[in-house]
This record gives sequence, C-alpha cells and structure tokens, in this order.
Amino acid sequence: MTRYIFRRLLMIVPVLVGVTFIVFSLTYISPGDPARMILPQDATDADITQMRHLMGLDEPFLLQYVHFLFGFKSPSEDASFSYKGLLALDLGRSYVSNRPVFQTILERFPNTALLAILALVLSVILSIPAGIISATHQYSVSDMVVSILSLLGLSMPAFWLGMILIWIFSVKLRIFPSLANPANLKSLVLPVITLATMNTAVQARMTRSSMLEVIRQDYIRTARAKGLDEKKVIRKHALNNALIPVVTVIGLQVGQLLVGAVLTETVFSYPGIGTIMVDAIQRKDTPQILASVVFVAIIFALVNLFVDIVYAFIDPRIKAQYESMSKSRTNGALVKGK
Amino acid sequence: MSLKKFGVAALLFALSIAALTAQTTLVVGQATDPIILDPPMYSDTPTHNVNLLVYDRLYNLSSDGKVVPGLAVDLPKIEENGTKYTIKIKSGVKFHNGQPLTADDVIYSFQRGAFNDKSQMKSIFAMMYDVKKIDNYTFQFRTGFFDKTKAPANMTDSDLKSFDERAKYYRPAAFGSQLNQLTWLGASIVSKATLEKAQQDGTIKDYGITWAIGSGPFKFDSWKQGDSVTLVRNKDYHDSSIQTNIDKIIFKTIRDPSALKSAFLNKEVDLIMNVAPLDAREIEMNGGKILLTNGYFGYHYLAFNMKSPRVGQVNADGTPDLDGVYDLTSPSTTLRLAILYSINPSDIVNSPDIMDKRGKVTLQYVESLPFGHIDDPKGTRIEEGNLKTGYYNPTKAKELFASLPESFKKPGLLKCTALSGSVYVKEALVIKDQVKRTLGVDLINIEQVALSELATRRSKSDPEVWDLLVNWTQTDDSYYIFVAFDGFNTSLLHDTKFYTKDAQEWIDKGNSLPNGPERNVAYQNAQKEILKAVPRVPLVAIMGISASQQNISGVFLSPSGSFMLDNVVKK
Repeated sequence: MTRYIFRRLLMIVPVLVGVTFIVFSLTYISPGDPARMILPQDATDADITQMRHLMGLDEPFLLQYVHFLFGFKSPSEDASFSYKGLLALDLGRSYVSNRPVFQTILERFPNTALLAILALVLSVILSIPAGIISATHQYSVSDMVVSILSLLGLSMPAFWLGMILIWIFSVKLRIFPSLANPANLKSLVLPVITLATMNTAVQARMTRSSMLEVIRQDYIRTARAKGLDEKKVIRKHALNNALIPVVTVIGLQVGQLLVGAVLTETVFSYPGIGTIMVDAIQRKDTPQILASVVFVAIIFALVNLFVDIVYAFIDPRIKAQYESMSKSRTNGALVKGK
Repeated sequence: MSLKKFGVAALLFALSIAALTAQTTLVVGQATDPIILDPPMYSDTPTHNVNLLVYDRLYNLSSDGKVVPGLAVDLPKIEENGTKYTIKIKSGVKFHNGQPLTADDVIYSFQRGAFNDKSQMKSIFAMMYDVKKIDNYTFQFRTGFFDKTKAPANMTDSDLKSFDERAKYYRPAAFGSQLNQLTWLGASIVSKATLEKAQQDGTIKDYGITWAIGSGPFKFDSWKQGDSVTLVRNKDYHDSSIQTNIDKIIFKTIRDPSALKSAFLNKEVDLIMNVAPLDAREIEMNGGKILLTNGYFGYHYLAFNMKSPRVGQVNADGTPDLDGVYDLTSPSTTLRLAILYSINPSDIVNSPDIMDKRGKVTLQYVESLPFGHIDDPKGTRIEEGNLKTGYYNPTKAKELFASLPESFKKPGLLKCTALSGSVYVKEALVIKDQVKRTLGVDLINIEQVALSELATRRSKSDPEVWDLLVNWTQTDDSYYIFVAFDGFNTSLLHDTKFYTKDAQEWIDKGNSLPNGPERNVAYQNAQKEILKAVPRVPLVAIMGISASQQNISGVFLSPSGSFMLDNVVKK
C-alpha cells in the first residue's frame, strides 16, 4: 500500500509540470498587455516599452517560462517586480493589487474551504439516505420525489438558485443576510444550500443507481435467503459496496467545490478564491492567474490522490490486488535469492 | 437603596455606557475592491472613494465643479504668464501617525507621483519643474516643456527623474489645467518621514495594502482583501467644520450588481454606487433615495478607428493620414457620416434594459462641465441634430450610402468591439440594427472582448482588428479634450487616433491658457473642428447614479461620480 501511495505521489509531479507549462503558454498567447494595464491611460509607447522591460515581458517565451519556474530579477529599483519563482513558491506580486500572489490565495482559501466543507457535509447528509430510500423503494412515491428533486437540483444553475434564495429569504422574508461572511454562520446558510444543491442531486442519483445494482447481486439474495433482517442486509452488505463509486464522485466533487464556487461566491459576495481568478483573468494579472491555477491544480491533484487512497482502502479488490502484487514481488525476491 | 432600585440604577448605567460606546457604522457597497490605498498608484472609482477619505489634497473639486482650497490656505498665486505657482499650506495639520504636514511632504508627494515607476498619475506633474520650498508652509513650482535644444543629444523627457533635473532642460509654458489637476486624487499628500522610514525598513512594499497614513477625516483600519476595507474616524482632523456622526466606514465589496441591489434592499448596506438605471427604479419603489451627479459627467460613444481604410482617414498606400488636413469627401468619411445619420440614440436612452431614460441624447463630446461645451451651436454640425433623436436622418444616410463604391457596402464590412457582458454590447446591438434598417445592409459585426484586450485595442487602434468601438468616457474638464482628441497623444483615451491641425492648434491654445472664458472658447473651437470630421458619434450623456438609505444624509457625489462622505450623517 505504501508503494501505491508513493507511486501516486510521484505521478503528480509530471501532471503539475504539464499544468504549469500549459497555463503559462495560454496566458502568454492570450490577448492583452499587462504593462498597459499597469500604466496610466495616458502612458506613451515609450513608457509601455520601458515597463515591459522592467517586468521581463520583452524576453523570449521560453526564457519567461524559466523565470516563472526559477525566478526573475528586474532591472527596476522597485523590488516588487522581482520574484524567486514557482519552485520557491514566490511568483511575486500581483500586477494590479501589488500583493504577494500566494499570500492572497492563502488568505482566501480557508473561506472557500469552509464553504466547500459545509456544502459537502450537507450534500452527503441529504443525498445518501435519499439515494438509499429511493433505491430500496423503487417506483414508490418516495423514489419519484427523490428523482424529481434530483432532476431539479441538476437543472438549476447555481447563480439562478442563489439569486432566487436571496430574493425569497433575504429581500422578502428577511430571514438570512444576502451577503455571506465566513465569520457569520447564519450568513453561510444560503450559499451552502446553493453550492450543495447540485452535488446533492448528483450524489443521490449515483447512490440510487449504485444501490440498485448492488441489491440485485447474488450475495445480497443469499443474505436475505439466510433470513437476515432487511435493514442489516442493506446497511452491512449492500451499502459498503454501493458506496464505492459514490466516494469516487464525492472526491471529484470536493475538488470542484474547492475551486469552482465562483458563481456562488459572486452572488453572495463571499471572499473566496474563485473570484480571485476571475478578476485576474479580466485584468490580465499574469502572476495572479498563474499562482491561482497552479494552486488549484495542486489542490485537485491532492484531493484525487486522497480519494484514490481511500478507494484502495474501501475497495477490497484494489487492496487485494496490491497485496498480491507485493506478495509476488517478495516471493520473486526469495526465489532469486535462493 | 432597595435591591430593586439598585438593579434599575445598574441597568440604566449599563445602558448609558453602551449608548456612549456604541459606534455609528456606515456600510458602502461597491463593485470591486480598491486596488491600492496609495494615491498616485491607482485611481478607479472604488479606490477613489476610500482614498478621498484617508488623504487630503491641496485643492478639492466641489460638487458643482469649482476648485476650492483643501490643505492650501487659498488659491495659488499664479505669475509669469501662468508659468509660476506659489502655494501656501495650512499649518497645524497632522498625519494619522502624528507627524506634522509641511511643504516637504507636499514636494515629496509630487516627486513620488511624477517619477515613481508605478505611478499612474504622472500626467498631473508632467509639466511641473523647479519645485522649491520657500518656508515650512509655502512652496513654489513652474510649468513648462522639455526643451530639446537645451538637452544633450539622445536625451528624452523620460530620462529626467526629478524636478531639479527637469529645471535644467525645461522651458516655461503655461498649463491651464494644472490647478484642476491638483484636485485629483493622485495629487494627495503623503508623509515624507513615514514613507522614507518605510523605504529603509522594507515595509514600503506593503504601503497602501496593509497600512496607509494620510491626513484625511478617516484613518485606515483594516483591509480584508476581496471582502471589505474599514476606516475609522480621525478625531484630530484639522478641519473642524466637518459634520459627521460616523465612527466607522466599511467599504464592502459586492461584485454582482443584483447582489448589490439585494443587499441594499435588505438594508445590509447604506450606500451603493454605479446603480443600473433599471435598478434605480426598483430602489425608489422600495423606499431608497437615488443620488445623481450634478450634471452629466460622461458620455457613451461610437468611435471610428481613424487608421481604418473603411471608416478612417488613410493615404493611398493605406498608411494613416497624419498631414493634419482631412479629406472630408473621401468614401471613408462618407461612410462615417452615413452611420452618424443612421443612429437614433433615443432608442438607447429609452430602453429599460440600457438607460431607462436616466440619461439624454447628446450631440457633442463634452456635456455639462465648462471646458469645451459648445453653448452656441450656430454654424456647427450640432445644428443638424436635435436632443430627441440626435443626428438621426435616414434620408440623408441613404443618400450618402448610395453614393459609395460597392466595396463599402459589403455585409460584415465593419468590425465593432465592445467590452464583454457590458451595457456597451447592448448599445452596439442597437447601433448594428439601426444601421442595418436604415442602410439596408448588415454592415456591422460585433466582437465582445475582455477588459485587458479592450485596453490593448483602444491603444493600438489596429485597423485589421477593429473599425468601430462602443465605449464611454468621462468629460472631465480640459483633460478630456486634450487627451481624448490630442492627435499627438498616444494614450488609451485617444482611441480613434484622430488628428487635424486646426483642432490641435485650438487644443494647444486651450492647454496653455489659465481657467477663464478665453480658455473655454479655445476648447469649444477645438470641439467644433473635431465635430466636422466626426471621429466619434456621441450617443448618450450619462449621470452617475448612486443610492442611499432614507436615514442617511449629507452625502454628495463628486463631478466624477465618487462619494463625498465628509459630512455624512446616519440617523
């Protein structure tokens, strides 16, 4: 198992290198000139050329990529144009806000993580029981209700749902604030519902279909034939196996929740990391774009790694596969050493 | 005293202590975070709103556009044909950290605004040189231009990095806008001693981000990036005439316009700015107060790229025509005029989705501020239009279009750029439809672009990329005219790259004259010349729209639409 985890960790490295190169290339070729964004509206062409030089933007593409990885020393007396590079986790300061780009992300990430975790907990609490009830009572009224609600949850765009919730619960009923704030739990109710809705729908449908597949298996029939209580059959024999694909989906959704809450953050004016990226792209704030996307890629890769590890623990087939591989290697070594 | 009486007395005491310590907080909702609380480094409106309260300037602009003394004792003494300014500043003023404010701070602030690599406000100080301290509370400067004949070969103006260096190579010339420009936020005064110390200990890198020291009526308290900036009252503010009961102001960032409106309707914020016209109606219906700028502070326009062979002015070989005399009978000019007469801006003004009647059709480039606004349109193009339908004249448009060669009548001939997701896209769609209906050909293709790309396109004016552009600009006194239409200026505002000799001469004259009727005439003549060639179609004059809760009073909007909160009171 340790070998499996180590191998998965190693596989992240080429993924991240690839991501940095692709993101850097896309930012490089995308239209817009950062020097022009920094300088005043009445800057002359000479000012712009000078600023591009100070920022290292007049260097060839590959050299700029090397700077991005290993650092850049600006000829300007202003130290904020220089940085130590991605490998030192220093991509300098935002062209727009002048703040250290990674610091900005780290300040805001806990806010996004809080929102994502609450949304995830809510969606798991709602979706798994709903999926089980729906599957175990197939074609019943409760199954139909769950199916219709899931379909609605999948069909409603987050920004629309958020605006409707604000309109009803903030503007009309005045129960919840419309502006979300990590320090005020009450203000997080509406954004958490907004963010959790689609995930709840996906997880409920996934749980239902996975459960339906499992409860038709022979070993479930055998358990029932042995006279086991139906609740025990579902809880002990069916659920464990049915949840394996659901865990995979939840894992992928964690990544999406952590980085994809842009619309929810915008509608509720919540200071998370999604809005950093949108602003940075709008303003061609290259250091902030690169730092944000690399950060997101790392988070995604780590979450997927975690899911894979959990998957290996809860799926006996994977565990057995690695254990047998490990045993065969040990046996092989013994044979060779004989 | 019985236990009951003691309890009541204790409760009353606790309540009175609570009342004494209760803070009055004003929450201002704005669409983005400020960029940096360091005045010369950036100046969009959200940054402006915060910096206006943290810093003071020598002069301020009143809500009706007049220059009034701020830190200065009086208006400057201007001598030697408008090239020498002497300014006396108030004594006894202190920065938020207790440092006294003197002429040294003023000179340091100007030097920083003029020569710092990241300063966005260099234009304020572009003609300033020989800046001298006379005494602790008096200083002097001159205005002029870089004189190549005085300088060594290959030296340019941008090689000079101090006012003293400039003094060696500048020759005197009047700059009429100088006084107005000293009211700009970029001319705010920072503390020399504080910033020099920060430069030494390295904390200067975070100036305007985690700390800021001004001398204004409110002090910087904290900034949660992406969420809010908090200011607290400066109890030692030098101007005792300030009447406000606010202890704390929170500038809350609310990106989404509908979220901004909902927060206002839910009374979570006291003031919001940049209210969409349609939302203004809803806010009024729900009991909010609508605040408007005093007059029209900008206008929306359709710009023609004058480098484009289709709608601009180019030579036979396709290069831009910069000889200063336009051929106003060329097919490209005829097409510009055909488009001018095809557009009826009242559709934009009246559309509930765009202006909802909170704006007016405009026929010129400067609407209500004094410089350049043409009061007597006799003999100008303005006589062809009216304030209901603009220059709309379909008969004339068709006649002009019919006279054009077939190559100018191809569908999709003109590429029109507008900021993605903005109101300008909606306006571009109205224009495209009106031109198609009037001329019978769908001439215009619209392309939506992001902000950074729009900036690049405006600046380069590449005729391969765009022919038309829908945007807005502020009509901010003379600065507008000389930047937006000064043919030698390569700035972003000058997106059309229009240049004629006659207009340029009037602009130069206006720039050199001090404020007064003669200067106004010069700029008006410049605008009359510009209107002959129509490098832009003026569409709609706009007002700044903000909203306030009913319990808020004493709030005014500056001519540029920023909040003036010095005297705000919350009941």
